[in-house]
Amino acid sequence: MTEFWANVALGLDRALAADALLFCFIGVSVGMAVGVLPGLGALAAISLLLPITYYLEPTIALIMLAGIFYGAQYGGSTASILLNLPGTPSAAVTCLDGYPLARQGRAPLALFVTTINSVIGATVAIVLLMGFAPMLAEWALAFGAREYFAIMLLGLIAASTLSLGSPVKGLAMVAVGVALGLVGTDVNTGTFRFTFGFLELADGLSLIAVAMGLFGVAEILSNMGARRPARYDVRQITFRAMLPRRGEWGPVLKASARGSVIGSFIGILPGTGPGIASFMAYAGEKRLARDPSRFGKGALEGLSAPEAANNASVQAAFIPTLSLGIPGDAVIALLLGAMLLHGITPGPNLIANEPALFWGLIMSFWVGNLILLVLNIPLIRLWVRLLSVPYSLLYPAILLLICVGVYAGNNNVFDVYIVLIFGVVGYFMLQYGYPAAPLLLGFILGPMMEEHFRRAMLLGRGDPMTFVQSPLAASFLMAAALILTLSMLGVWRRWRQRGGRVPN
Amino acid sequence: MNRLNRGELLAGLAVAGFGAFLSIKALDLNLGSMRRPGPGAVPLGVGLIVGVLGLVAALQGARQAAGALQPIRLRPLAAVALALIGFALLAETAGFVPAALFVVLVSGAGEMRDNWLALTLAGLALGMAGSALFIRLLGVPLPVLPPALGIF
Repeated sequence: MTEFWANVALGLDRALAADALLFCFIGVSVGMAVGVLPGLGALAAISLLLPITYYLEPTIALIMLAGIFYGAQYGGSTASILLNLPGTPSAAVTCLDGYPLARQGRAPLALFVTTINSVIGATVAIVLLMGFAPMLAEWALAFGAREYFAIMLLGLIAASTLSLGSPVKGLAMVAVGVALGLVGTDVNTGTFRFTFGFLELADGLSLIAVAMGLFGVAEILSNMGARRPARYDVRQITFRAMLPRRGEWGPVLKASARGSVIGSFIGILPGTGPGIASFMAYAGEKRLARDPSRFGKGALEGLSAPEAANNASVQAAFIPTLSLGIPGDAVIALLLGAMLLHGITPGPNLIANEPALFWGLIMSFWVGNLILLVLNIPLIRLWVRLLSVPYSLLYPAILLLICVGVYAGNNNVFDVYIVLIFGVVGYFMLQYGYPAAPLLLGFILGPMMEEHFRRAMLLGRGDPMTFVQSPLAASFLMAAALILTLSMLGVWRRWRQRGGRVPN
Repeated sequence: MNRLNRGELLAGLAVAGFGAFLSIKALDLNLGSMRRPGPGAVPLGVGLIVGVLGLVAALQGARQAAGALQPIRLRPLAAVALALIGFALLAETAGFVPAALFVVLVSGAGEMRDNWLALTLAGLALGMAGSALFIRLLGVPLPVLPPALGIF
């Protein structure tokens, strides 16, 4: 126990240093801004700032990038409530009851409730993270190549099939991502693979260029020419109007507690992100409610539970990422990619080898959530005003930032063309419902999986049965097979029911 | 009812085609043995998986009712593509400020038809602010203005 408190003190020491505070503030503010602005997500923002972090110390870089991630979850609810414009799948759940509240003239209350719930959800998950991640890491020290391969496969399958669109398309995109991750020099033999004579591809496709293309340029392309929402009058938002009435605190806080638990649990599972957490929390509340018909008309529970779940899952997602090196969703996979670029290998040894980084990062979550509380309650008007920046001026600026960011990554223009290719591909993927997030996840995990696969085959003397001879690896593979079977059964059943037609 | 959903079908086939391409290309690489899988083993396997999943998606999508797909708009595509290519060609030769102005004006043309003044001002402002931040402060090796002018 004394060791635990010593670590907490170490982390606080790091997180409260001036540079850490500054970059934590920058991170959560950028996150809040991109969350508020529709059509620009945490993924695009993190990939934009990634090249800048080369100049920073790894801990500081991670504190800032992580801040963007959870900051964006706070900001996402603002546009959903005020304008019914969800930026992310989890924010779409916030629209369900948040927007009706705004139409009843209670937008300030909705903003207040989502903020409070975000803080509660995050708090629960950070406490779990502090207790759980070191334990999990100790357990994972026994992992060998086959266990890693199996759990990564489980993560990829869970991430692609448990998402909200078509599981077949999700799986296809994971596989495409793995394939794209293979481009470059094979580490074992030095053979060039899929480089087509481009020396620039010898180190593989640039993570930054792929992410910016798929999430930056593709988003811009699909938002261009779209209908613009009306502005929202900030004068309506006063602190008095924000506070819930006396009888409303109870249901809000109870729903928040339930949401936090669901969100934390889902966040810990590899491969599941905030979108699923929000949907499950919403469905749970609706089932529990005495009068489910209130939902969709401004039920406070319908706003609270998903918001708490969403933020809890985001913080809890750091548990498998930091202790096993297995990211839960695409955003956190990008953070993992950032760690690798900084020469840090996330995994069971991280906590022991880099205690200041691990504990500093976790303690910065407290700092960041506190800053977000201030940004969201006293300063909310500022962010609402941001919604009135015309998109027609915003996107050229974003595009320019993408260009510089990508160029700065490797100091060559080749990557700008890669961004263009992935931007166009990503645009068509969006049009036809092929999700880009699993692709990025596969792209980052693919090379690691190949390494582990080949090493396991070597150690197992060429017998593929080696993967089921380890009880741990076997149980991960079983879980993966189970998820796969269930989702394919679902696809089949829907296919039959609809006379051969499948819903989008 | 039995009309094929052409878009979905083509999208799935494109994925399947990518898988087939991967698999064929992987055959050029050394596949290795079970005991020591070579550089081609995993690409071949992944290529086959992509191919099969693409075919399933195509079959599934072909029978799907055509949804409310947004039409593919060419103007934004062309504007963004031209802006990126322009940046790639201009940044190192003409310098960051001209490249920034080009990106902002050309990509802006993908949507706006008036307000050119605002775009030009935004482009110049971003070019100068970007030069200060990225080139001066962070040391990105790009010229600010055309090197031939000999100013910077």
